[in-house]
Formats: sequence, C-alpha cells, structure tokens
Amino acid sequence: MFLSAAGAAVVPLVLHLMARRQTVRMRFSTIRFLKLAQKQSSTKIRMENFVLWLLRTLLMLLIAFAFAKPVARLSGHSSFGSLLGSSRRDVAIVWDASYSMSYEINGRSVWDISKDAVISIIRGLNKGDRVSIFLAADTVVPLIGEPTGDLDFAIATVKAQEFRYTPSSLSDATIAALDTVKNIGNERELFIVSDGQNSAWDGFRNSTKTGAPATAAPLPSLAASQTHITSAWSPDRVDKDIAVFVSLLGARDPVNTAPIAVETQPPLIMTDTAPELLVTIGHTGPPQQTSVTLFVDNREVVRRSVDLAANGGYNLMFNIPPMAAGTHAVRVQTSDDPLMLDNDYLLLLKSHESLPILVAGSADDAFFVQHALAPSDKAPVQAKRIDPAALGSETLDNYPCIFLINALPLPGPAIASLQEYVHKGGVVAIFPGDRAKPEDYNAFSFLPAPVKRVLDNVESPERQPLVLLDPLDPLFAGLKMPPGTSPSAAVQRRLAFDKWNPDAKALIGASSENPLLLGRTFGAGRVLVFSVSADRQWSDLPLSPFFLPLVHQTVRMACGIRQDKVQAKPSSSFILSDVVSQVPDGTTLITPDHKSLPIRKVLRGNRGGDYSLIVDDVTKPGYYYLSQTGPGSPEPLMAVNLDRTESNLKPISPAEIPSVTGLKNVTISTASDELLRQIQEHRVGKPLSEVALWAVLLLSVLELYMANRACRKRATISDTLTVHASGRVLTKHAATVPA
Amino acid sequence: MPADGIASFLKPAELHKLGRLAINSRYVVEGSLAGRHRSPNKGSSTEFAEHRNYNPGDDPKHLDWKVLGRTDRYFVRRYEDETNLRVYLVVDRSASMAYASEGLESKYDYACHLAAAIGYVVVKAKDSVGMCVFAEKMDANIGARNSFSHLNNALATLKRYKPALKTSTALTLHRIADSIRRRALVILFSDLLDDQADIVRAVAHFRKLHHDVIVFHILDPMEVDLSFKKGAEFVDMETGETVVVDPKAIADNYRTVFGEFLEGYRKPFAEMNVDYRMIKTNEPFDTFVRAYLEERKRFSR
Repeated sequence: MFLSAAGAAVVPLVLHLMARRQTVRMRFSTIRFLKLAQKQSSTKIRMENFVLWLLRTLLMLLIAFAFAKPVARLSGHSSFGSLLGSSRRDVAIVWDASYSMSYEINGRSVWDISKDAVISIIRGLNKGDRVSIFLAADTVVPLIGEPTGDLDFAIATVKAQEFRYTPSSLSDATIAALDTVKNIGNERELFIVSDGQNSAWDGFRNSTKTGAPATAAPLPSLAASQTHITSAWSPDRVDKDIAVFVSLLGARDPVNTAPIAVETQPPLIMTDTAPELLVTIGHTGPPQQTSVTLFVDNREVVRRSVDLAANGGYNLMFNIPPMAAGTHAVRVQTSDDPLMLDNDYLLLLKSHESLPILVAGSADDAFFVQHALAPSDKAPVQAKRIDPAALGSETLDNYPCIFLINALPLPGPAIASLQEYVHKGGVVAIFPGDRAKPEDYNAFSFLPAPVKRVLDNVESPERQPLVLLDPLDPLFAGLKMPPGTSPSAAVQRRLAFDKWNPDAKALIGASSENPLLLGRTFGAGRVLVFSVSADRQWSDLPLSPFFLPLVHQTVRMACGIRQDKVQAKPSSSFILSDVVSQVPDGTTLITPDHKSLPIRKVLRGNRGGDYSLIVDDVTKPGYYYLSQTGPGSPEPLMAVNLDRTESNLKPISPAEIPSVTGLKNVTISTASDELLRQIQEHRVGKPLSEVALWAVLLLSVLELYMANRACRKRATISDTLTVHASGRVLTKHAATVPA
Repeated sequence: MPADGIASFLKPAELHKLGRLAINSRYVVEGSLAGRHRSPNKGSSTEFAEHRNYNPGDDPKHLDWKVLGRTDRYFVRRYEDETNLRVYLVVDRSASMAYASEGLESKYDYACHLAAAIGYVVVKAKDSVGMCVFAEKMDANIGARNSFSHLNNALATLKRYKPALKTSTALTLHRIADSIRRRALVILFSDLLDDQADIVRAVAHFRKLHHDVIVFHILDPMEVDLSFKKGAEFVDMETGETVVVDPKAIADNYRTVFGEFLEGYRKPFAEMNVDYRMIKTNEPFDTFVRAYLEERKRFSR
C-alpha cells in the first residue's frame, strides 16, 4: 500500500514545470548585461534545476519506500525460496553446560539466560525445520543427537536440563553438531551458546595451531549417552553455506574468587601432628578483599582476610591443630561471589594413631627394618611382619607401604597383586637377598630396571658414600640430616642392574652408575629397589644412621601418595577402583545430596586385576560415602571437587573468535536480544526503513542547501568595488585621482 | 536671486549648502571675462608667469630689476591672465535614463538635479553655464552665460524634456563637441548604456579639442547590484526585448559582466584624463556634489 505513495514522486516534476510559467514582467533599463550573464550561466542553471528536481523526486520515493518497511536478506542460501526466507532449515545448537554457566548476573544465572536463548532459537523455527542439540561438558552430551522436527519435544528437553559440574570443550560438541547439518538442500545454521569463558575455546585454539586430537580415546565402559570426539577441529568442517552464530551471554567483566589447590604438609598425619595447609587462591576481576575460612568437620577453625590483586592469585598457609585418629572433612571456603559453586574446596585428612606397614620377610631378614619402623612400643607405625608366602592372603590396600625383604621369588598372583597395588598408589620397597636369582627379580615388570647379576666384593668391600642423587625427589621431602653428616656404607654384595626403564632414576648412591637405591613411578604408586639387603650380609647399611630416616621417609612418601587418592574430580563415568579396590556386593555410592549411585563392575584387559569399579554421574562436588558406612559417617570415602579450570572466568573477546575458530563469517552477539535480531536479519532480512530514513535526512539537507544556494547573499559590485563619496572609482591598484 | 527654474530642482537649504562651493577647471580655459580660471593668454596680471628677454620697445615697468642686479642682463616679467570658466552641462535623456527602481527617482530626474546643482555652483562663482540635452539627437543647445536668469531658463528647458524612446549617445556627443568653439569644461550626465567604444571615442573628441571633461555616470542601484529577490521577465526599455532570468542564479556572472562594463569606462577615461565619477541614484546628490567639488578643489591646487 505504501509503495503506491511513490506516485508522489511526480509532484516535484509538476511543480517544476508549473514554476516556469509563473513569471512577472519587469521593465529594465537594458537587458544587455542580463543576456550576457545568462548566457554564461545557462548550463549551470539547467544542471542545478535538474539536480534539485532529482533530489526532490528521490526524497518522495525514499519516503514512500521507508513507509513500506522493506527488508533485504543479504546472507544465507542462494535459492529463490531462501531470498524470501521460506526455505526449510536445519539447525544445530551447541550449548555450553560447564559449571561457569552458573555465574549469576542480576539474580539470574547465565545458564537460565542461555536456556531462554536456546528456547528462543527453537521457537523461531518454522514447521518443517529441524533441530539438534548438543551439550558441551567434559564430554559431548547429545541431547537431541539426530535432527528432529518435533520442536515441542526439543523445547521440553531443553527446559529439563541443568548445567554440569565440569568444564566444557566447545570444539568437540561443535564437531558433533556439524555432523547433523549436512543436508545441503536445506538452509543450515549452527549456534554456539556459551558464557564466553576463555578456556572453553581452547579446543579450537589447540587444534587450529597444532592439529592435535582434541581428546583421548574413550574407555570401553562409558555410557551410551556420551560422545567422544577423536578428530581435531578444523575450520574446513564448516561448509561456507552454514551460517554460524556465536552467542556469549556471560558477564563481560566477571568477578570470581575460588580456592584453586590445597597442599597438605606433612603427607602423613598422626594424631600428634599439627598439619599445615597451603591454599592457593585464584581471582578474576578487579582488586578486592576477600575472606578465606577453614572448616574442619564443619567447625570453623580459622578465618583470614586477603587483599587480592586484579586477576591475581594468593597463597595462604593454615595451621590445623592435631586431630583425633580418623578421617576428617576439611573445607576451605572463600567469600560469596556470583559464581558460588567453586567457593568451597573439600579434602579429607586422615589422622593416624598408628600406621600399619606390611613387612614381608623372615624375622631375621626383617629385623633391622622392623626396628627402624617401630623403634619403641609407642611408635606410631605398626609394622606387621608376614612370611612372603602369606602375601596372597593380605589385603594390600590396607597398607600405604609394603617392604619386601628377601621375599623373592614370589608366585605370579602375588606379583600381580603387588603390581596392582603399586599402580593404584601403593609404595613397594624391595630389599634383595640370597634367596632370589636375578631372573626372579625380572618377573616384576614394574621394577626400575631388570637385575643383571649379583656382584660380590667380599674380600674388598667398597665403602660407598651415600649421596642423595636427586635431593628434590618426594622421597627426601622433609628429610633432615644432622649437620656434618656424610653417610656411607661398606658394600660387600650388591645387585647389578641392566638397562634402566625410561622413567627410573637413581636416588641414593655413590653415583648414578653405582646406585644404592633406584626408584620408579608406576601408575599412581612407586617402586623402590635397594641394591643391598636389609641385613648386614650384603652391607652395613642397616647400621648406618641414615637407615632409620630413610625407612621413615619411605613410609611418609607412601602416606602422601595415598592421601591424594581421596580427592577426585567430577566425572560422568567415575573409576571408583582408583579410590577403593573392592567393595562388598550391593554397595552403592552415596552422593552429597544423598542419592544412591550403583557401582558397576566392568571387566578390564591388561591392567591387572579382574575388573574396574565404575560409578556413573559422580558429578556433584561434595563428600561421597559408601552405603555400608552410611552418610554422616565420620569416614567419608572421598571428596569430589570441581575441576578449577572453569574458575578462571577471563572471557574471550568477541573479536578473537574468528581467529580462534578459523571461521571468517561468524555472527557474534553478547546478549539474547542481539542474537534474536541477528537471526531475524539472517532469516528474514535486514529492515531498510532506517536506512531509507537516514537517506531521506541526508537528501533533505542536501536539497535545502541546493535550493537556498541562490538565496544566499552573494557579493555585489557595490561590495567588491570601492567608490568614494565623490564618485571616484578605485580599483585594487588605484590610489589617486589622475592629474 | 534663484529663479523658478532653479527652485524646481533645488531646495533653499540645498542652495545654501552649495553657495560656498566652486568648480575649477583642471586645465587652462578661454573665457571672455577676467575671472579666477587660468587663461592660455599671457598678459598683465598680478600673477607672475615667466621671464623673457627684453626687446627694445617693451614697457620698462615690467623689467625685473632684481635679476638685472644679479646677472647684469635685461629680462621682462610675464603675468598669467585670469579669465572666467565656461561650463557646458550635457544631459542624456535616452529611454534607459527613465529607469527607476522602487522608492528612488529616475536616473534622468537625478541627472537634472545634479545638473542644476552644478549649474548653480558655476553661476554663483560668476562663471558661465550652458546646457545640451540629447537623446537620439541634440534636443537643446543653450550657450554659456553668466547669469542666474540664464541658468533658470536652461533648467526650465531641461524640466520640459522627459526621457525619450531611443538613444544615439556617441553620435550626438560628437556633434556637441563640434558645437563648442572655445575651450570649456564639459560635464556629461548619462548612464552610458550605449555602445561603449563609440562613447569613449566621443568623449575623446572633447579631449582632443582641449576641453576639460567630467563624466557623471549615473546608475540605479538595481542596475549595479541586480539585487532582485525573484526571477522575472525583464523588458528592455529601449528595444522592448525580453529575457526571463532568475537574478540570483546569474548574480555571479552579472557581477563580472557589469564590472567589465564599468571598467570599460573607468580605464580609458583615466588614460585620457577625463574625470570619471560613478553615482548611484540612492545617494543624496547634494552630498555627492559637496564631496566631489571639495575633492576637485583639493587636487587642483
């Protein structure tokens, strides 16, 4: 209807024609000069009149055009139907489900804001359009893995979702989403909805830089509802016809403070030990003051105030009073901020009244070790000595450390149990003896090095200095030697090792080539192999003042390793075997919100042992219990903490996204309404009314200027010529009246 | 006493202002009476002119005794002979002189007022004034006389004439030049809107005959500035031709063209020592006359 108003464009022409006929007749002294001037100006006048007519006609046309509210679709599919915005459409949505989405802005979480945005995207689809939705968590969760045209179902699915307690990798979910928009007959759109937290985009960065795979190969026992992506991100995956929208709905200047890591000293806590906690605080945002509170068994122990620099960190040391024997729940808490989920760091501290250590060896062989471990009745270490043959009947997990003293050779099952024990975090210290041949040692595949032979120096025993070849090794943490001490040992017999395993290292000895003690990290645990026996048959090491502290250091190290095993990170498929080797049938894992999670036994291949214990959906941070011990028990099994990667809320800059993803044509928004407007412009077209009205304004100004040019006061002869009162006409160079 | 002819052009207050003014010729003129203007004739007078050698028979009273005492040689003193000025007022009454913009008198009426004022000054200074009125031909040629009654009659004649329909300025000026026998001051009152080159030649004719010439170029402000607000169909008052123009649209070019027209007179008149003055009809003529005569007097000393 409004376009018919364009007929008004003929009005300026009519007015121009009419104006020509309305002239006044005026007598003038002479028209000679008028004619001359007109002759010189005629072309200019005609051109000016034409320009004025053109401007006025354009003005009328643009005004009618603006009222008609035209739209122009400048992007998208090139078919005629798409020009009118009427093609069928396939839409894939990648939805960031990391815990940083729980950040609150003005009382609403970014997750809720993003949920509304996703629902709005779906509601903007028409009948015949299809949608697929993928959650980006630590793994890809296909909410709607195959495109569906049931939009109501899609909306209901979205509404039922909650964020995950994990970080996210957007690149993996994007790769999965792109697989669902391959039908080139339809219009295709990809939406990535995130809070804009920087680390979620690392998958794009690392792949476009190095081409490395985004994630590792999947475990065989994963639930079917997850997807692992094994190939790297590449911008070539995105067809040029796919419209990509990235919506960053998080705070542009987020503020967050969280405890990032906690280190306990000493690793072995006895009831008379006052442990220390070294807490690392991370901060995103401007400088501010915060308070850090330490709770032990839900009692506030100490509170500190900390001044944090902008986007900086801080280290705090807390002293905990000696604790009674048992497992204690410790919590480090920072002040409330918009991201509450990471304000608590949970850990379990085990305080020992006495520490059980297993010593496998004969009484004679183990004499010195036993007495080193428990020099008195009141010693905290309870060294249980067994014959090596009885190893198979012991529950090795009950002991942080096992000494094998002239215990080889051992049967295969015992070796397998020991290997499993070390792999899970146990420490095995092996003292050789006369019972074993070199090949008996080599049955242990987890030794630092195979044994080549036994060297004898009976007639001329070597006195070797005992040098700490790697003083920074955890074995020596906290080791205090008396000043001026130069430990040494006379060695009559020792093991000679063959080529070392790549991760083995010499810890004590005269030199690396002549080590007294070799160590190797195997799995989560450690193996220590002495080259001399634990008695005086091979050396006088047991008589050395170095022997007792060395044995105690071994125990302390073992306790430190075991201590860590009670901390875990959320996982949708948690390997409980890493924490506890076996549980009675029917046992369940109790979550912090008192849900009961079944424990599955999954057969495994070559890691030793028969099966792994898997629990699904160990995602909520908090203390977890085994059902037999029940919730509220003073013996929680483990503390699950968030992976603090997402706690650094440094946002990605919208301008970075094209370079990070390698996608040149990506539409970026930082608010929901902006996203919807971009979608509208893409699908329907950009409204041109505003453009037309701006053009009207500019043309009006130009028309006003042109039309009034002639009305401007122009210089006349009287302005430019100097005429004296006496009538004398002066030129620029004239000065006087001619004589 | 001013007669009726004068009274129709000049008010008593204007006459009073003009009474003390005088107009001089910049060159020597020939007059019949002894007056204050230089005469080319040397004779007895109080104004020393030059020395000449004594010839037997010269009146010894004119011997310069001081020079004799200094040089021991005989010289006779010669004196300037003063005479009266003859002024001819030449008034153009061509059709274009009838133009008057709104609120102003026509150029012809203005020229008449101006001529009356000049004539009065001339006669008051006991000089002679004559008059020529022309358009297509010389309509009136009144000889120069030194009396108010003569001036009155001349102005009465001038008043009877109205602007004509045609003009032939250059040719008529040549005839007027030929009609003035003795050297005189010729004052031309015209808008000079005829063939420019012909008019310049005609004025040069006056100079060739050793007349002192003053040209009062009388123009209407609208002619000069073309400050019309709207376009119109302009009708030529002499030829009847028409042209439709928007004055604002051609203002810049008109300024150039008309400027060249004015310069086309100023420059050649300056070169031939013609006193060229431009007056617009919106300027009070008595103010102009006073300023002009005072300047002329200053520069003639």
